Amino acid sequence: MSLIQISDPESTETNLKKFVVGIDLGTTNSLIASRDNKVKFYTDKDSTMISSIVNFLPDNKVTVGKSNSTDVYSIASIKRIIGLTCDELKNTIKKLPFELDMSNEKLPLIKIGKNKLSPIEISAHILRHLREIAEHQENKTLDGAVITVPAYFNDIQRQATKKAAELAGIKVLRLLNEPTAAAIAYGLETNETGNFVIYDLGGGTFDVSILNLDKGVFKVLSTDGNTSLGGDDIDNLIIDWLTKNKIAIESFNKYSLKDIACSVKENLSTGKEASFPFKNKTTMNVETFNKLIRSLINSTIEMTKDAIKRSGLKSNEIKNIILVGGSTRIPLIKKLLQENFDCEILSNIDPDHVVVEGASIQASILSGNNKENILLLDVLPLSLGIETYGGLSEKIIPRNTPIPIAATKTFTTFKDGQTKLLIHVIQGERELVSDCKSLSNFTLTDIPPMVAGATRIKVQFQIDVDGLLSVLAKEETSGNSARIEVKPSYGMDEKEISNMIEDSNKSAESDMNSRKLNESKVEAERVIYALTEALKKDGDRLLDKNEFETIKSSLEHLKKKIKTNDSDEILLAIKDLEKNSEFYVERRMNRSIKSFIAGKGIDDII
Amino acid sequence: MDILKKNYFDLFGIEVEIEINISSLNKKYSYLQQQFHPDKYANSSNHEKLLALQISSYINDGYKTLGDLIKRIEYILKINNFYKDEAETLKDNNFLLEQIEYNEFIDDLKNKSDEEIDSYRKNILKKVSSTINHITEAFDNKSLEEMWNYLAKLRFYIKHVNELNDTINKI
Repeated sequence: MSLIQISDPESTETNLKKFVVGIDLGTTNSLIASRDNKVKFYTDKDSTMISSIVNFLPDNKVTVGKSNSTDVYSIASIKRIIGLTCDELKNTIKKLPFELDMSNEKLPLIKIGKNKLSPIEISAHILRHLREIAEHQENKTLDGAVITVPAYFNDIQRQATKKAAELAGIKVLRLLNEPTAAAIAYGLETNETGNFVIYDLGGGTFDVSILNLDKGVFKVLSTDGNTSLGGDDIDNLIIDWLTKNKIAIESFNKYSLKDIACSVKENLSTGKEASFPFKNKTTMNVETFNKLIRSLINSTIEMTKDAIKRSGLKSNEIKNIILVGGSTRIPLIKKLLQENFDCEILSNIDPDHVVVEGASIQASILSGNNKENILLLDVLPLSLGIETYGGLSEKIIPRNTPIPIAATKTFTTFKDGQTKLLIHVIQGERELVSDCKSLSNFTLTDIPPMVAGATRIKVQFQIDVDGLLSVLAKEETSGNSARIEVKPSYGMDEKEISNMIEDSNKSAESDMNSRKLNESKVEAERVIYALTEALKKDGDRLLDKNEFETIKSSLEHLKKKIKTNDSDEILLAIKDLEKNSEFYVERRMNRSIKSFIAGKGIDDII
Repeated sequence: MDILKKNYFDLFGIEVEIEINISSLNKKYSYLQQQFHPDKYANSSNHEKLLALQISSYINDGYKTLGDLIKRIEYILKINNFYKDEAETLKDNNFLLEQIEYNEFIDDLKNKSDEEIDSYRKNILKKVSSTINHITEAFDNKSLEEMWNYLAKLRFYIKHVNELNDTINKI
């Protein structure tokens, strides 16, 4: 058999080093970092923390971050409403710092002057800004990102976050749960076994999660929290104290008074006393401060206790508490946690950085830059079910099942000649469908007309590693695949999304083209590399001469096409190569499982 | 894919048995996921990614099935082509009376002493382990019908112990 020509693996290796990042898309602040040997943060105005505020300027320009200008319209805290329907927002709408258009029931829109934007588009502005500062500082095009989401985010909130990233021109390598990211940053995935509390008090939200770790398997046992409790509330307590004590405040506007309160809070986290920049030389000492915030902190301790209880564990079964979020710098928090829980508290990583650090580590592992043999097995955060008779939920995949996972359910018709079937997929733990989150309503069409109950429609629900759902259906008796229309419930279909992506890129068409070309080249190199490596290992054993030649020639074809600098041609050649090597890929997979089973010495290997 | 046609015992390379070594299952599970988890194929072709997703899902389902006693026994019946309508219940009057008696105990739990509850729990657990022995015996004798009958009892006993513990926690 003829040998295949292979380029120097060393040089391929360096070419394949990818520029990947972790992104902590927060309610108040967002961060972006990459990790080669150590973590590198990308900064905006010299700060690693980038305010998650989107500003709309009168000249239609959009900026991200804090703005002091008075004629801008700023949108903050968009994460609070991403992936939520109008119905779910009814109760919180008054507290939101922006005006909503609720005419599309599935997708509330934010009014900005004459325009209306979806939460997905607003989030995309933040993500695009993060991408641009990282690309600018690295002078490279971003290849992909791991983006963190709260553990309690449901399918729609996750889908929406992923769409926002796509809209911002970011390839999502993985959505990662924030508490899991924090655990990775502390290196707990390697050998640790035990239960961990992730206590996350951020600028505007409090989240507590109980994680179980068993040599690389991460299970979220329970989560609790308050989506409107955080550092901002502590600042407000300080402002209230000033008002209550009738302390003369010079003409500060509300914004800067809040900044002052925040800096007093920060000073009291390290010192015993802090002063206000007022003429009357007002000061506040730690004792007063602690008295002020004690009940707020106590409420977080109670929620932590509740979360532990709901995970089925006892307090003494907790190995460590990990502190996340800038507000955890306040010494009283550590003190009260120590008093209530008898375990070591981990806080040596900057609590503002810990989530993005974990995400950047995971990004470098997924991209292949980091060769450490770490595997993270996540679980489904909320049960997946379908609506059955009487508005009840029937669970198909229970929460905390390791993902990816697939489940199949067989349906039948209940009327003679019925050709359509409506399936309602929901997520949540409650019995009643109305208490759960509706994921999608889809219709199976083209069912062959038969007597009631005669047809068998197999529907497969597949959850991928990001915890995202896809659905496949097949009519068993006729063997036809029934068509499924899955309507994403965040209120936009694929076409609307792709239109949005096009629109957002119209202004920078040449930029778009070069990005597309770069992406196709990176993809082509990835495919060539993977296949070449495989052929080197076992090509001569698993392929006969003709098969080898077929793959080789389409491999060469792709290599030639890369030089054309035409992204469409390159993508076509990639597809061609992938199609021609499908059978080979399957053979390799089958062989590796065979060797696993045939090897009676398996117990020796592991 | 050949892999997806293997039964879970073959997939994990363990003997078809009622009681299995869980720590060995855990080890093999980790090893299999190390090979086939989609994260290991993040840089591979789309077809490989799809296969990895399917295989990894299959491994997870196998792990869930084999790791749980009841699911494992149900699965053994399934791979031995034993099917019985789910609606059909066990026709055993003595067992029916036993169930009523046990449920009454839980209803009246508030009036029971700790010692009473403790010995009651021990009794149920004894039933659990003797039922498992019966199932193993039935399996060895290849009498699947009998296995199915005992499985119905086992389900009840295990559910009952859980209910007992839940009720105690609530009180």
